[in-house]
Amino acid sequence: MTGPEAALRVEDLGHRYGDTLALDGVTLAVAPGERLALLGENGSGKTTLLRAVSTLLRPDRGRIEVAGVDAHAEPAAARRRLGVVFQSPALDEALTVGESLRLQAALVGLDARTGAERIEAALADLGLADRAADSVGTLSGGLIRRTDLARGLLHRPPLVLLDEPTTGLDPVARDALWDALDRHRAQDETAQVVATHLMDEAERADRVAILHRGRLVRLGAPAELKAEVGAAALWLDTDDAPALTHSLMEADGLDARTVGERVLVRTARPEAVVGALFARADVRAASVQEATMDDVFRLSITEP
Amino acid sequence: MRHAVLALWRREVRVFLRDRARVAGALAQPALFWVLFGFGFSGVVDVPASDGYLAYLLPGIVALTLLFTAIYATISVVEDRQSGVLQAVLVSPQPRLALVLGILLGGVTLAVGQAVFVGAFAPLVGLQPGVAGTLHALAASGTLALSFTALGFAMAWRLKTTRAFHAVMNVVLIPVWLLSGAFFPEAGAPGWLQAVMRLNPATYGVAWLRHGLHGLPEAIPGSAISLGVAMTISVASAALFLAWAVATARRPLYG
Repeated sequence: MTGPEAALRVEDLGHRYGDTLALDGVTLAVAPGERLALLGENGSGKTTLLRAVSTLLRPDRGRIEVAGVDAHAEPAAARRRLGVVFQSPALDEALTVGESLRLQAALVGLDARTGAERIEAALADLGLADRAADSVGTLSGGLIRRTDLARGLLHRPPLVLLDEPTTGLDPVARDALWDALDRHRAQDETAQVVATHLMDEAERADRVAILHRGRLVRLGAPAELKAEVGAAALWLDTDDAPALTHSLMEADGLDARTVGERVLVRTARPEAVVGALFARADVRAASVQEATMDDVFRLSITEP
Repeated sequence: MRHAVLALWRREVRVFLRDRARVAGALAQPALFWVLFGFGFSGVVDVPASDGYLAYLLPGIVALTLLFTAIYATISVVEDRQSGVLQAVLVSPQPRLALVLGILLGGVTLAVGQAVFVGAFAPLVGLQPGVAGTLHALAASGTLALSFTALGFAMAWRLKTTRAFHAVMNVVLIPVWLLSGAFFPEAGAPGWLQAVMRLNPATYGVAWLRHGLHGLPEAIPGSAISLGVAMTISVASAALFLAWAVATARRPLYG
């Protein structure tokens, strides 16, 4: 690669669990300081991709580089450049916040002084300064998540992986966590790869990668992906979306497809077809609508 | 790596000490077993030493404590895997050896600590180990504890739930303990059972432990194993189990 070194580079990654194909030739790169959202249904390969990048799984084929280091050839060096925040907080409830972070400091090899400084800074940054002596088990879900975030970021790695980091949080706690992620990214230029099910979280990313059946089916900025669905998109409300889709494709030669419970018609001239569509008895309503991230997602996973 | 081992060790011990129910259970269980088995079987089991069955059983109860505590300490591997703590350790730059040593030393500390508590009852039943005997007993305890934390670790790595852990460990532990010479001497057992007992690695640790707690007698009470053989096989099996644990931890967590 020429130019600045990518925080993450994944090339032609493939993996099977027995007969199940979990990853099928995924290639992507994440720039330093970039935030990439990873979208996909359960079983789409998101978790496998994160496990492979975090070196917990050895993929059948392909190559992973973390900040220029081959994760397979030099796992320890790759791990030094990597922070991981798992779906469930990796904290022992019997330890205090301070003890949990000191354990992490020892694990990532910070000396006592640097460790203490980093812990103090992280606690202050995440609003946990007065919680250091509290047992993790006594904290609210939001505070546990923030403690876990402090844990994953303590060694200030160039790349951090976050697997559904806001699961189970109320909206206020979720915002607090995202604010912390925003600040951290601005301060340390950390690249963030965030797996999520939430479209509004995906919109907070610079780019979105959508996985479907182990393949990377979309990769681009949220605005770009939405533009692909297009303003030239007609959304039809109907009682039987598959039947309407079939009829529009076969009889009218339109580019129609079922997305959720609605039918999406893509056309270069919506004003030309909208009248004809309105006249149909099986169309309850039609609208030309700006695509949402949700549309992008549904569309990309309904493609053949 | 030294700091990481120390930090992991400290965590194991700390988490144990904070769980009052676990501490109470860990101390009450051997006492209960000793009293119930000791009085219940004192007329039934034929023991060679003149000190009586309670004295014969005491090293066996120390062994029971060691085996159970050592193995059950490694349930933290299963719990950590479920909570994600294990994954967090595995994605740190530490070598896998640090993880294994931290957890094993934690388990050994807890097991030997409790063994000392139980062993302290020795003078009550007329056992006088003396200084040399105490040192032998401690060395035997440490070796046994290492063997069984390592065995527990290697098995825990493969088990996905704590339910599975309990099921597997009970199947392993009870026969291993019963057939180690802890509960009844091999001398009185039928030949085929003696052969099974000789295949049990815990038998040698128990013999070594008994040698120490009984105050270094010429022959180990109730056993035809020599001290040299007991020590050699104990240390060798601890080394083998340790190697197995380290090899296990080097495997990727997910297929």
